[in-house]
Amino acid sequence: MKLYAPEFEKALKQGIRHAIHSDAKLQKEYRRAKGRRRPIWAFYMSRLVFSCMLAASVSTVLNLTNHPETALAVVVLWTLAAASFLSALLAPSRLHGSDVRALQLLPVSDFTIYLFRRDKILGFHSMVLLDMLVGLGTLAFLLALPWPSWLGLPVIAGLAWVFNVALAMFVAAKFPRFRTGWLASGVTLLFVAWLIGNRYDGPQMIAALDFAAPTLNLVLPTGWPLDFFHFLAGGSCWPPILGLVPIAYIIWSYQNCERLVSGRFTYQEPSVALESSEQVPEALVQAGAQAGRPVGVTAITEGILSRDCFVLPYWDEDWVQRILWRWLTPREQILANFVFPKPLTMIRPWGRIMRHLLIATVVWQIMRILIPSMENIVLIFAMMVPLLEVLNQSWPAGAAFRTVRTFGIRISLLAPYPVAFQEISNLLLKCTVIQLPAVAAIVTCLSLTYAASHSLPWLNGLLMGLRVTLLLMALRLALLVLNFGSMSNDTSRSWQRTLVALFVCIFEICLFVGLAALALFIPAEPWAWLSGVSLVGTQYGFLCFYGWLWNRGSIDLMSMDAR
Amino acid sequence: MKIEVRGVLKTYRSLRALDFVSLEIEPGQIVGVLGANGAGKTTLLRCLAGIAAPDKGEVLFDGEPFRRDRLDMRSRLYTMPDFPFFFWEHSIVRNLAMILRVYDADSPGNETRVLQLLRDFDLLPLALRRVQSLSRGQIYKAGLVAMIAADRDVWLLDEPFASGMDPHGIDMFKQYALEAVRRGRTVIYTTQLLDIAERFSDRLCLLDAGEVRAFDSLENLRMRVHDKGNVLEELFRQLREGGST
Repeated sequence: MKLYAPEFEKALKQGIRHAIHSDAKLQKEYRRAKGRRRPIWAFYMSRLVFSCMLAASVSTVLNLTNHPETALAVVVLWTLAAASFLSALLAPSRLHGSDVRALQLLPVSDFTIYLFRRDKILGFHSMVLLDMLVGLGTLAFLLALPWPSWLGLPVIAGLAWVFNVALAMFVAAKFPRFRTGWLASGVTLLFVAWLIGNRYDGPQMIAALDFAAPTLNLVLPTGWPLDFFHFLAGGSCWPPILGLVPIAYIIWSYQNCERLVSGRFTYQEPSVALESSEQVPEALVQAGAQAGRPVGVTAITEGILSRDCFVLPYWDEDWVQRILWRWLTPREQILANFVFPKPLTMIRPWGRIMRHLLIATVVWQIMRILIPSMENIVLIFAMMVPLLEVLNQSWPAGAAFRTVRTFGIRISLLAPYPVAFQEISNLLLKCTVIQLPAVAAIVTCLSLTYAASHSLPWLNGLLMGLRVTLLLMALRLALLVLNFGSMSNDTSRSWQRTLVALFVCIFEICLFVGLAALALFIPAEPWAWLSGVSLVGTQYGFLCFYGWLWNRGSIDLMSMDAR
Repeated sequence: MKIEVRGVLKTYRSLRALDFVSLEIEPGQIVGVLGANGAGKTTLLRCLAGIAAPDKGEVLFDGEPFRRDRLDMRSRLYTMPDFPFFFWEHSIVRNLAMILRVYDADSPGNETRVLQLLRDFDLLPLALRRVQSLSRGQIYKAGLVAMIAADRDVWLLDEPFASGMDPHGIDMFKQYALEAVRRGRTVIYTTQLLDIAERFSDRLCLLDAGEVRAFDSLENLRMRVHDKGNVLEELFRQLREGGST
């Protein structure tokens, strides 16, 4: 769906080019204002990495199992994630992209806007066709299929892609409440878990996949068109042909489903609550309620004159918060209110994380009894969820790194105000350090669970938990630098700077990975701890170095949008 | 506070936003920065505020080089970007309270001034509303209330007259700015509105392609043109035609 005339745009561009070339002054101005464009192929090249990952997974699975069915199941699962993701994007609430707000101002119908948005989404989804071609091509190459069979691959991939789109539309239309986003995330997590846990759990996961592959290929809808691959490989042609019936039905129903989805799409202006009651003194609210009127000018005036409106939250929700509040300097307390307009809660989230950890452990124990082959997969999931929660809770940032976009430039929210780098970093580090005992407790619990599941000595589990805690602290310091850097154009001001930044980043990553590997995997305890402490020290040094650059004005506190 | 800009060069990739700019601004003045779109006006303000880092050259306040960790220096400036930086989910009053506290300007007694400012800018009935529910002009007025209540030595404003404020708001801003300048404050603002700039500025700075083409009082600039009634218009015409001002 094009909301513009390509011929007109082409003619306009030609006219502009001609005008610039015929005027020396304009040419000079043009050269002055011209910037580097981010090439579109860069996006496709980066997306190609995912296709290569699929090819690598297919190849590994086929080598390990020697079952084409199992390797095909990898492609089936991959396309299932893609279809789920597409379906989630087609939900009416997700169709409201930022461009929709702008399009709404044009004299075009909702249906036209829907078509524009749909085409944009399908444009990104076209890369899934490449995934299928690469996945099936890898399988065909490893099975050494004869060349006439290769001619059938684009047909199967094409059919599978069309079906994938139709299926996503079908689910979005008929089952709008179905959490397709969760399904996509689940399958993606499965791949991530396999990549991370390949060393320990790869064989079990592959065994489970090998066991379930025939069923998966038959039951999962994305497997129906891909089943035609067996036909090319010389297998029986009946199961795929039977699958043609639901495939044809879903593709045939595309238009009806789209009508349903587009019919639900109506743009609604985002609305906000007008009143904010946080500054109104309670007594004034009650007085207003008794008199049956809202808070008026008199009440506001009284609130300001009594200075009640200027009282900012005092962190007093729980005892950890109180300790943190006492630890902060008066200036840091002011900044705490500035960075965290809502006080940072401490004890409640840790209780929730503990509960989740307990639930995950129980689920893991049940699963190891019911399906022993899935034990490690469940363990990885069970450990990942609380760990992510721990990181989210212990690495708070609040509004410290929030940016404001003004005309193509993003400026840090704090940039215009007199706030120093050290003040922000100290505040955030204190918020992390105060929660370090809780982090250590949860991570050690996770580590002990892992040790128990692999029959390792409990002491190893305990020490590993403490080492990981140290590693997380170092990671927090490194991420703080990245957070500060994300608000700046320090890597894109000039190619020399980009080169230096790239060099520093590579050095930093190598240093981090090297010391982290020593801290985690070296058997000699003193050396492991020395490496861990060095890691934290070097990362703190890196943070201070960045702060020094920040203070002396080597870094802009703003960044430009990509052209 | 005396401001000196010494040979500041600022580039965005291949674009020279400021081309070795040098200026000296004495305290107690209103300085209007003018120039075509992309001339470098906003970049100059950002360099003064410490948001953008000059590639070369330096900015001095009272003879001392500006550094971001010099909070004593930074807290003597107040920057108003083209759109005030607020916490949108909070009310005007909460934002004022937080900003004034960061500037250490929420001492007892200042609440009367805040109240007066809210009244003057017609914001009192809206003081408890979330910022995100206000119009563009109202948000800008709230930003001005914070700036005037903080009462710093240097006020840096980006396009205050194209901010969506109503005539009354603009009038109030001018009154408060003139009163502040009488107390020795310095107001530096960018604008495209030549007639306002002529009437409201003590000195005018004309930027063109990142270079300062003129920095003088209106009286002195008048000497350079034939049309004495439309000084800035003629200067801009000269710039467009490639002439020297």
